[in-house]
Amino acid sequence: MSARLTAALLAAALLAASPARADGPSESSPENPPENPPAREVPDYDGRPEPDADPADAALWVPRILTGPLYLISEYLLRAPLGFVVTELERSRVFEFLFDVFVFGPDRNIGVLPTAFFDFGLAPSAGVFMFWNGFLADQNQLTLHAATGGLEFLMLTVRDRWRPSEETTVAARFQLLTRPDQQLGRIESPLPAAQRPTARYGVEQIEGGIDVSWRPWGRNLIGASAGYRGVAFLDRRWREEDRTVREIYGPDALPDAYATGFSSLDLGVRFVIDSRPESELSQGGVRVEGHAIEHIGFGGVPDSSWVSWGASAAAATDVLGRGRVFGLTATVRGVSPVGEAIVPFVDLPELGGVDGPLPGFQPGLVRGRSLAALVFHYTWPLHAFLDSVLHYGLGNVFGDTFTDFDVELARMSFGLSIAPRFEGTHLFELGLAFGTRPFRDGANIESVRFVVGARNGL
Amino acid sequence: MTRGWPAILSLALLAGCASAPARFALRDAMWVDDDRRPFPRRPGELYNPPQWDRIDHTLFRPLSELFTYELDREAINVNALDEVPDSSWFTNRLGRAPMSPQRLAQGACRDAGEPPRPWTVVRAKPAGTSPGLVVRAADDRTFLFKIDFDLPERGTAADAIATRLFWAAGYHTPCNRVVRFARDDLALATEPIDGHDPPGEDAVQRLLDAAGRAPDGRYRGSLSEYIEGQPLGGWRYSGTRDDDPNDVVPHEHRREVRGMVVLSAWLNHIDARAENNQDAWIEGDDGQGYLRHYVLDVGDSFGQQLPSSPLLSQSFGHAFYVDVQHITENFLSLGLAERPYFDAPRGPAGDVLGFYDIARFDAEGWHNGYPNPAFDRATERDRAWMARIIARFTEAQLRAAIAAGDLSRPEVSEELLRILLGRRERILERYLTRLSPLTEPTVRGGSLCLTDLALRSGLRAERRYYTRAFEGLPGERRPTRGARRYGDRACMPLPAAEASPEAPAYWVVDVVAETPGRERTAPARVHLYQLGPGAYRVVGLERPDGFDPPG
Repeated sequence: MSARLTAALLAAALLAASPARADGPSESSPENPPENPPAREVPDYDGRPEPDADPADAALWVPRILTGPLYLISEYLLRAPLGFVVTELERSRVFEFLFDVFVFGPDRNIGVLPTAFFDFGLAPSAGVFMFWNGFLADQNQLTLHAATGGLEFLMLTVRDRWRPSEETTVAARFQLLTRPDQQLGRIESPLPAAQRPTARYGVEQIEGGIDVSWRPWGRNLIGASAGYRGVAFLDRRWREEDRTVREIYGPDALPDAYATGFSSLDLGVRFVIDSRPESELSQGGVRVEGHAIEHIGFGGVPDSSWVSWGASAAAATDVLGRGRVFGLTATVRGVSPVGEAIVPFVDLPELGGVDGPLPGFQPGLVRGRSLAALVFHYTWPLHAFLDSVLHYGLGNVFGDTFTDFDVELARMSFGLSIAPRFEGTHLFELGLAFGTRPFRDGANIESVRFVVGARNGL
Repeated sequence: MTRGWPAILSLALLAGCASAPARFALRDAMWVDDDRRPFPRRPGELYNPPQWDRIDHTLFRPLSELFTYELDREAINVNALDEVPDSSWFTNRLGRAPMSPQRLAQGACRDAGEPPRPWTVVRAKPAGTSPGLVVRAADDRTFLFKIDFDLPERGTAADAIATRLFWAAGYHTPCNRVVRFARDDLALATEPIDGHDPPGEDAVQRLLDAAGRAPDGRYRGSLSEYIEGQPLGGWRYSGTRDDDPNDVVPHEHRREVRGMVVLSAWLNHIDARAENNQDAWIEGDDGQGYLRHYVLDVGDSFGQQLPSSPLLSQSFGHAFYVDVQHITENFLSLGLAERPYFDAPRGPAGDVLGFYDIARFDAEGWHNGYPNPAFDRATERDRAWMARIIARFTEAQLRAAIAAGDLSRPEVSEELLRILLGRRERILERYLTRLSPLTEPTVRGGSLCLTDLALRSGLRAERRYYTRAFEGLPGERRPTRGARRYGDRACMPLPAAEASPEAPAYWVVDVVAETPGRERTAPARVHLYQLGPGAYRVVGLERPDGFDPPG
């Protein structure tokens, strides 16, 4: 008797009734012929007596019994019920039915997909994502994404992406957003601020714009954009335990534009020079990127104009081959007011979050007038579609154009992440990273950032 | 030993345990397994859920098996000569008898010619991931009609070639042919056939528009003849069918199912799963029948590729689609675990053969697309058994099989031949150099002769043989006079004892093959009865993995 069979018998005895395989053969015969004979005996294939029972197999009953509960959980709480459900769904062609319901059009080019727990982090939410490939033109894709997590979480995004040629992309976007869960840690300018707990605030935002990019070859890119933003900040708690920005900062020291909100016209240019060949695996090479956006403010920040700018230079080498890439990236970012302009605090460069150079810091935790960071990263492939990245970085935010730059003010960020190796936004990410206080303040860990799940790339 | 980490525990427990040797019975080796006994009640159709099959074998089955501490065991349906008897699963073809290249080229097809035209389109292809048609030839035979979609010639050629190699190795397969045809060769049915509405002209034309063209301008496709009998779903790589009284050996313990891993490795057939198999009800005149077990679809062989992910395509055969072990090892080692497939180049044959190569081929570490319970349990002996079959393929036979693929560029055919021979050599190097490659024991004139497959296959040119003999089991060692080479056979005079049919002597003879300066294989251990002076009868052949004397 095989070990697996005996273990199954034990499990069956303990459970009194073992789940049958969901997809076992069924008898069918219209003529109802006589019953089949009993199963034949297993032949004596080699003409030798059966060997004695293996004493090792008997001895293995000890660990089998000891880990029996784990087997029961694995086999009868996971495998059997899941197998039953998925099998029946497949047999009933439920997946095909759902696909037909949600994806249609002459070439399956139109789709409507529900989303849940996706659009606002893990906050309860539901939404719908629609796409229409070939809308009005062959190389045009229209997407619409709407989601809500109640009246406090609302989002509507419409994008149209047209590729008139292989190299050129013209994209238009429009978004309405309201959410109460934004966080603001500290704004360090010109010097590190006093310790403040993280504050919460809400945001209501409308924005739209157009973006044109041209990729003459490889990953190199030149682009320009023009857009409009209207932003209002809501000084209210998201959760009971939260403290608002007004409570933390006080009414006289609120971040710029927090009380008034703002509107702006944003005109930007950017470039990417990238020597890395296009490849599925990470590659070595040199990448230089720069951008500048002029913001012309009105509304809450009348007669204000400021320029966001940034550049990064990265050198990487696949010294070990096969996508195992060591790299060093230097990043500077800043925002420069034109004259005595007010710069809304959300336009201050931030150290961490989704777009910051130091992933160990939570979104909104550290912002400043300028930012400098140096990050060493090692990327290696886990599988055909999966990379892991180890990073160690130094950097911080500073005053206007690094006026108070000091190595002792540098913070550290280090961590590990796993993400699919696709260009653009990640569909999934798993990461753990840490951010510290500045060296001058002891470099103790100040931020722990654990990321699991999907990043909203829709 | 066991699979996985319980091996450590079981090895400790096994220390000092050994079972007594057993004599073989005085009888002929079983060459036919009588599992085609007719029975009255036709089994039901078995449904194999493709997605759950992937998920289960990738995650849940391995997780459950962690806690069963299953010991490795040898396959069950192995006869006294370490071979597999003919059955409803397997027929010894190349393994037991010579086969002409022409016969191999014909494969499972009943004749060498194409089915007579026109081919009437009956309906759209009912299942599978790629579209196709069901057509009926003028002689009323029914075929599945397929075309190459993304990669010209790849799928149709692989289907025709690999099916013939599977057939020659011993499996039941359909008859698959590459065909060239004109539009007029396809006729549209004007009314439903067998209750199916035929597809419209537009649907057929769309399919043809996607089909590749042969150099002569005609369309290129493949015809797969419907197998004999009523299809009842794909047989699985584990368990038995409760409704088939002949099916008493768990499939994961069938040697031909386990050993298929080596054939699949040779051909890079990564899609070995239940959905690509088929049970067929073979019914007799009396209404009773039995199940025959087919390997239905091996069209993924050689250079299967996903156009959307060359990197994943490069990993085919080297890692599972989602390879938990590789991912874990790569993560923990910070990428220092060597994965040569990450920078595999496409071969000179381009898309037709993709990343199918010799350089990165690891005969022992080859991976199916996702874990397979029978492949997981294949032992050294199961694998060596299939290697011995593969050793019998000649270059002429391979050329004949490749010709069936009707590849338009001769250099692609030559490249495929080169790779097949190169991978075959790696398989033989791995599996014919540890366990004995000596086989087909025969006795003539008081001499025992065995075929040395390392010589026959061209793997080795020089050989030396060592012999020893034991009278009885356990027995006394008796002097032998050594073995000599005759072509690809090794022969040795047998020792003699006083024996008669009433009081036969039992002999165990070890023949060890050695390649000077290279390996010395473990012995081929032949068991014989001596029934009188010069009268011997071979009753068994073992392939121990060491040099300990019998008993």
